[in-house]
Amino acid sequence: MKNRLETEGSATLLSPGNPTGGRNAAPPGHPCSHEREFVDIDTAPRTHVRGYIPLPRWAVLAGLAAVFWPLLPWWVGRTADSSDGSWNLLALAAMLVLTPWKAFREPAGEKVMIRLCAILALALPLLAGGNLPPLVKGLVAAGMLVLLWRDCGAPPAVCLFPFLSLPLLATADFYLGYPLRLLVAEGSGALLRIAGWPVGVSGVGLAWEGRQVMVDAPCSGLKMLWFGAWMTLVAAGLCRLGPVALFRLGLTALFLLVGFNIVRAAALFFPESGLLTLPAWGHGAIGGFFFFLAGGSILAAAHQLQTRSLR
Amino acid sequence: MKTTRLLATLFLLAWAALPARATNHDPDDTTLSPYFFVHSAGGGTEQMPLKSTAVDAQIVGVIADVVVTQTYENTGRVPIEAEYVFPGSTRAAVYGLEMRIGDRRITAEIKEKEKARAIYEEAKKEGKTASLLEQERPNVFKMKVAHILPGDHIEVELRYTELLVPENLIYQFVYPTVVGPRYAGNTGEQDKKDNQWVSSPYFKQGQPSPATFSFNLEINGGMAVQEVRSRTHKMKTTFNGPDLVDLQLDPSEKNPADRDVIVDYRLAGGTVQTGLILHEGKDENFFLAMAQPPVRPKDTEIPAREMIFIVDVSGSMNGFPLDTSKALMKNLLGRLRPTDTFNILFFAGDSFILSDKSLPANPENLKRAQDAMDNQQGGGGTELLPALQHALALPRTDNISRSFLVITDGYIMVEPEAFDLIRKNLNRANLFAFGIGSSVNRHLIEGMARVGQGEPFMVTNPGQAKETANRFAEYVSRPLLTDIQVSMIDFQAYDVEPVRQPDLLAERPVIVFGKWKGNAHGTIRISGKNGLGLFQQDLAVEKAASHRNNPALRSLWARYRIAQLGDYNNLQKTDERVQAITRLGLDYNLLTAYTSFVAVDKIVRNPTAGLTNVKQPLPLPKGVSNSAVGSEVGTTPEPGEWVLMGIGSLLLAVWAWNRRRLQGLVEARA
Repeated sequence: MKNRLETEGSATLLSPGNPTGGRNAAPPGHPCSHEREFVDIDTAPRTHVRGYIPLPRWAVLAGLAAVFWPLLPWWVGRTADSSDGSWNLLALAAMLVLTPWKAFREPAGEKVMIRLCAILALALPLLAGGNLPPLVKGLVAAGMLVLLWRDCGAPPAVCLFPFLSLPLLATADFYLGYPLRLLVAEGSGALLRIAGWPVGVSGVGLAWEGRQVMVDAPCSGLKMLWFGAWMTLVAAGLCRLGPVALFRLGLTALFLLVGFNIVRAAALFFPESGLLTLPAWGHGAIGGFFFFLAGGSILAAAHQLQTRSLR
Repeated sequence: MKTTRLLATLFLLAWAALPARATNHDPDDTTLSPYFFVHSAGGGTEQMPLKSTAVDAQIVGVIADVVVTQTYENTGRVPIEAEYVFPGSTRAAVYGLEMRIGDRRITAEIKEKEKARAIYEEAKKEGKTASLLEQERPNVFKMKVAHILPGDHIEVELRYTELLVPENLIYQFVYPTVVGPRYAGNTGEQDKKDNQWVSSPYFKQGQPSPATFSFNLEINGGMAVQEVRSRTHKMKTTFNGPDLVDLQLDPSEKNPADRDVIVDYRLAGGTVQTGLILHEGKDENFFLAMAQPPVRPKDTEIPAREMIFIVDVSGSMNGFPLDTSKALMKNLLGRLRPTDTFNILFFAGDSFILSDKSLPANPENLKRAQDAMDNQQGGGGTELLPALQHALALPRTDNISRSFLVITDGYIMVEPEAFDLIRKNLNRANLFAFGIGSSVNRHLIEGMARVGQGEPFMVTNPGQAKETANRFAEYVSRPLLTDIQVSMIDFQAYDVEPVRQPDLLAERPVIVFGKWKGNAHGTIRISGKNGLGLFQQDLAVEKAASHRNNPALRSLWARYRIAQLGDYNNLQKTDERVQAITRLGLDYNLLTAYTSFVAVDKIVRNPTAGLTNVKQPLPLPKGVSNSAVGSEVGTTPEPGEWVLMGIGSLLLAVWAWNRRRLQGLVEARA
C-alpha cells in the first residue's frame, strides 16, 4: 500500500487564521493570528493515491449525510422526545456558527479521504446491520465529521461539537449518573466533615443526626458538565486553541465542574437537612452561583491558555 | 465584532431551535399521593378558606348527637371553590346538612351520589353558591363549597348521630379531627377516579392548621356520671348535676385539631346503660336492645396458642407511632406463655418474616423478636395486602388456636381489599387489629377486626401499650360469650340486625337493632355460652313502652344496616346491595357511599361563574412525621437547564465582549 503513495512535498503550515494553508489568513494583530500551538494534523508530508480525483468537502459531507441518512429519524426522535432536553441543538448551533464554511468549497485532503474510506470500509458492515445501537452509529458518524472538520481547518474545539450534538445526555446519565452521584456524595461528605459537621455517607446518601439528604439522579452534576463542556468548546473555538491547550482546558473544566458541583451539594446540605431555611428560589440560586464560578473559571483558564500560547 | 455577532447568532439559533419549555402533563398522569402544601404568595387567591370548625355534641344515654359547623371565608380577591377532606366517626349516621350565607339558610337534600354531583356542578356553572357533602369512606367525608366570593362568610353545618357502646364499663366518645395521609400505592384507573381525595395537601409536621377548632360536649348519662376524662386533650369539665356534665376544650390547647378528641367516662356503681329503647314512628317502629355481658370466667382451660404479629414499619409509622408499636410489642411478647408459639412479619413497601415457621415463645426467641422490633426505623410504603397474604398463607398446626395481630396506623387505601382478603383466608383463626397513633384510620382497624372475628384496639401513645396488651391477653384467653342467640317471645320484630351475633370477646353489651310492629309487649331473650356454662338474659318490652320517642334509632338502625351491606359489598359488590344502600340512604336521609347531601343557593351570586379550586390543606396527625407524606428526604438537585444556559451564555457574552475590548486596545496601541 505504502509504495503506491507518493510524497507531494512539504506541508503548508496551517494557522488558525490560515486554516486552509494560506487562504483566509488572519490580519496582523488579531489575537488568534499568533497561535503557535495550533498545529494541523496534516503537517506531515502530503501524500496522495495515484489517480486521486479531489472531491470538494461539501461533496464529502453530502456523501456522509447519504451514508448516515437512516440515523436521522433516530436523531430527530431522541432530540424531540425531551429525554435529553434537546440541548444538543445548542451544540449543533454552535458548530454551525463556528464552522469555516468557505473551506467546504475546497477539495478534501487525500489523507482524510483515505481515513474516511477506511472507516467506512471497516464500519459499513456493522453500520448496515441492525444490531448496533443508533447511538454507537451516531458516534461513528460524529467521529467522521470530526475528521472532515479538521481537514477544513476548523479549530479542534469546533471539531468536537458533532459529539456534543448527539442526543446523549440521557445515555450519559444512565451510565455516568450513579458514579458521579457517588463521587459527589463522598466529596461533599468529606467537605462537610472538614467543615466540622460529622456527616455520614452511605452510598449516595448523606446522614447527620437522623436527617437524610440524598444525592439523587438530578443531583449528579451531569447537566453542569454538559453545559460546562459546551462553554469550554465555544470558548476554545473562539480562542482557536490547539489540541494540547484544548486538552488542558478540558481537564481544567472537568476538575472545576465536578469540584464546584461537590461544593454545591455540600452547601445545599444545610437547607435540605433543615439547618437553614431558604426561600424556594434559594436552591436554584446556590446552584447557579457555583456554576457561575465554575464557568467563569473555565473562561479565565481559556484566556490564560490563549495568552500563554501567544507568548 | 465578529465574535459578538457569532455569539448572538448562536444564542438566537439555540433559543429558536429549542422546544417549548412548558411541558403539558397528561391529565391522567396523576398520582394519588398526598403532598405538602406550598403557600404561594400573590395571585389574590384565598388558599386556606376553612377558618373554623365548631363541634357541639350531646350524649343522652347511649346516643350521641353531634353538630359540626365549618366556617369558610374568602379573604382573597377571586371567587373560589373550597374542597375539604375531613374525618368522621366510623359509627356516624350523618343525617343533615345546612348551609348559611348571611341570613339565608339552605337545607341540603339527600340525593343519589351522581345526581347530587350533577346538581352541584350545574349550580357551579350558573354561578350559585352550593355545597356538596360526599362520603369517601365510612369515616372520611369531602365537603365542596362552590362560589365563595371575596369577603364571604359561609357556614356549613352537618349533623350526625352515633351509638356509644361501653367497653369494660367505660363509655368513649371519639371525635376524629384529621385524616392521616393515605398510601395509595399503584392503583388502577377506577381507583384513581374514585379516590382523588387522597391527593390532599398537608402542612409539614408540627405546623398547625390556621383554622380554629372548638369542642363542646354535654353528657346526660341518665345515671350519675363519674371519671370523666380526656386522655388526648385538656378539658374544662363542669358538673351541672350528678348525671349532667359539660366539657369544653381548655384554651391552653394550642393545636387541638391534630389528633382525635377522645372522652371517656363511667356510670356510677360500675354499671352500663342496658335494656331496651323503643321508637314509634309514622311508618315504622324501631328498637334497640342492649344486654349486660356476663362475668368473665376465671378458670377456663386455655389451649396452646399461636400468635402471628403483622407489624407496619412504613414511613407513616416513623417516630412516635413506631415507638408506640415497639412498646406494645414488648408487652404483647411479654405475655406469651412458654407453650405458645409466635412469628412476626414486618411490612412496609416490602415485607420480611422473622422465621419460616412459628417459634416457641422461649426467652431466646423472645429476645430475638424484641431485637428485630427494636431495629425497625420506619420508612417506605404501606403494602398491607401482600403482607396479609403472606401471613394468612403460613402453614398452621392443628389443635392450636391461631390469632393474627395486625399493628398499623392504617394509612392505606385498600380497606375493602383487606377485608375481603381476611374474610376469605382466615381459616378458623381470629384477627385482632391494633390501631397505632393519634389519628388512626378506624375504618380499617375496626373493619379488619370485624371480618376477622376479633377485636379492634386503639393505642394512642406508648403509655397505653401495657394496658392494651393486658386487655388483649384477657380477650384471647377467656371469651365472654359464644354461640349468642337472640329470640323474640311475643314481640313482632323484623329486620333485626345483626343477623348473626359475633362472639363477645370484649366486656360490652350485646346489641340488637330492629324494627317492630303490633303492640309493644313480649320479651327479647339473649342467650349464649361461656366458660361458666349457659347465659341468658330477658328484656321485657313493656318496661320500655312508656317512652317511645327516640327518633335517633331510625338513623342508627339504617346506619347499622348500611354498614352490614357495605361489609358484604366489600366481599362482592352487587347491584342489589348498591341499590339497597342507596334506598336506605334516600329513605332515611343518610349520607352513604352512594348518596350525598347537596345544598344550592337560589341566587346567582357570581354571574361570570369563574372560580378557582382550592384544596384546604390538612395538618399532619400529631406524632406523624413528614415521611408519611413522602419525598421528605432532602435532595440537592442541580439548577435547571435554563439557568445553566442563561449563566453560560451570559458569561460567554461578557467574556467575548471583554476580549474584543482588549483586542481594540491592542490595535489602538499598535
